Amino acid sequence: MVQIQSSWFPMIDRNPQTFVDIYHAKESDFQKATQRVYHSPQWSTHLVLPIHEVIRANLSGFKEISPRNLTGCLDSISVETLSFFPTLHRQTRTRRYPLTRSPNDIHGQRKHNLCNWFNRIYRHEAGQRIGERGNTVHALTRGTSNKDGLSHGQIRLVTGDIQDRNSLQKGMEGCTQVYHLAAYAKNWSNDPSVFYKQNVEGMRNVFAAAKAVGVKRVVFTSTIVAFGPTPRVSSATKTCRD
Amino acid sequence: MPGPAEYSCDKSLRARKWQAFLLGTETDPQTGEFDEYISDPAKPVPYTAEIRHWYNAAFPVEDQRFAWTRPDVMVYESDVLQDDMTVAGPITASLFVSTSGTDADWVVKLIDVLPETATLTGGGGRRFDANAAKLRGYQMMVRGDVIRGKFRNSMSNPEPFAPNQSQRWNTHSMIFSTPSKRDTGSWCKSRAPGSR
Repeated sequence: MVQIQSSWFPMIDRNPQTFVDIYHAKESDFQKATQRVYHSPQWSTHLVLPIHEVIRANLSGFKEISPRNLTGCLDSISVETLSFFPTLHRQTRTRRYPLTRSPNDIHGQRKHNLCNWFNRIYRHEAGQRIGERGNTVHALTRGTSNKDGLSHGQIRLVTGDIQDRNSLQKGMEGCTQVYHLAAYAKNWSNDPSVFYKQNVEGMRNVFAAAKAVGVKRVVFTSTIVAFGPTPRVSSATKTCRD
Repeated sequence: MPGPAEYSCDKSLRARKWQAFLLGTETDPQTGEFDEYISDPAKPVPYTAEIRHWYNAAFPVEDQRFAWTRPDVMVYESDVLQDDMTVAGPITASLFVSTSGTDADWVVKLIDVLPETATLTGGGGRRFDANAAKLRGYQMMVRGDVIRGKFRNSMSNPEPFAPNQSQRWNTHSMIFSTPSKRDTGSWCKSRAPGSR
C-alpha cells in the first residue's frame, strides 16, 4: 500500500501552500489547496523498490548470533569485557573493575563507549591475570577518541580505524576473540555513504582482518537497536554474574 | 579450529533488482487520470494517532489505518504479494502531481498491510486475543518520507509551483529505515499472506 498526503504534522511543520518563507509566514498565508496525483499512462506516478533476491549477506562460516544464543557465546567472556556491552552493563560489578562506571551512569557509559568507538574489543589470553580472570583487552580507538575509563592494566589501547584494515590486523595480533560493536548508529547523516562505509565496509574489514590474523571467534552485534533494550534480568547477565 | 570461511556481501547486494510499482496503469473512467484531494493547513494529517505530551518515537511501527480513513490521504494498493519480498536500499518515488497553490509538501508512505491471517507468535492459545486481532490488516509503514515541494529541484534555490500545472520529479531516497523488530538495519520484508 502507498499513502500520499500533504502534511505530517507536527513532525513536519505545516506548509502554508503559498510560496513564502515559512518561518515568517503570516496566518493569511496558510491556504487550502487542491492536490492532484496523476496515474495516467503518460503520467504514471510510481515507486521504484530495490528488491533483493537473497535476503541475507552470505556470511557462511560465521554463526549468526541472536540474543538467545548470545548467552552461550558469553560464557567464556570475562566481566571486564562484558562491561563494554552497554545493554548488559547494569548487572556487572562495579567495584572491582575500574572500567565500569556506576550503574547510574549508564547513559554516560553508552555515550562514551558506543559513540566514541570504544566498542571494538580485542581480547587475548595473555597469561596475565587480574583476579581470577586474566584476559587482556585490545581496545581499538581512533587517535581522536575520548579514552575516559580505558586506563586499566589489562587494556591495551590500539590506535586504528575500522576503515583501515591494516590497523585492524595490527591491533588483532595475538587476539583469540574479536568483538565488533562499532557502528555509525545515528539516524541521519549529511553524507549517506557514511553509513555504508562504517557499517558495511567496516564490518568487512573486521572480518577480513580477523581471518588474516587467525582469530577464533568474532562476535558481531550491529547496533544497540538490533537487540533492543535488555530486560532487567536477562539470561546473558545471569551468565556473567553466576 | 578452522579459520573463518570466505564471506561476501557483494553477492547478495548484486542480486538486487529494481522494480517499479505504478499507482495505476490504466485510466479509470470513474476517477479519470488523477486523484484529487484538498489539503487544509488548518487540519493537517498527524504523524501519529496518539495523544501524547512528547514525540512518539514509535510512530514508524504505528498502525497507519488512522491516516487511511482520511479524505486528504490518497491510498493505493498493490495486488497481494504471492511471495515474501525483501527491500533494501534507496526507494525512489516518481511523482506526477499538481497543486492549486504555489507550494506544497508531499509525503509518501510505503506500507506493508499484514494479511487477515496475521497472528502474534506465542499468543498463548487464548480463544480471542485482542492484540492479535489488531494485527489483521495492520498497516505497518515500511518507509515514509517527505519532500517540501519548493525544494524539488534544488535545496538551495526554492521554486514556486505554477498553480494547477502537473509536475514530475523524483523524490529523495526515502530514508526512514524499517523498524528493527522485523529485521535488523534497513532491511525490510513484505510478507505474503499466510507466511506469518
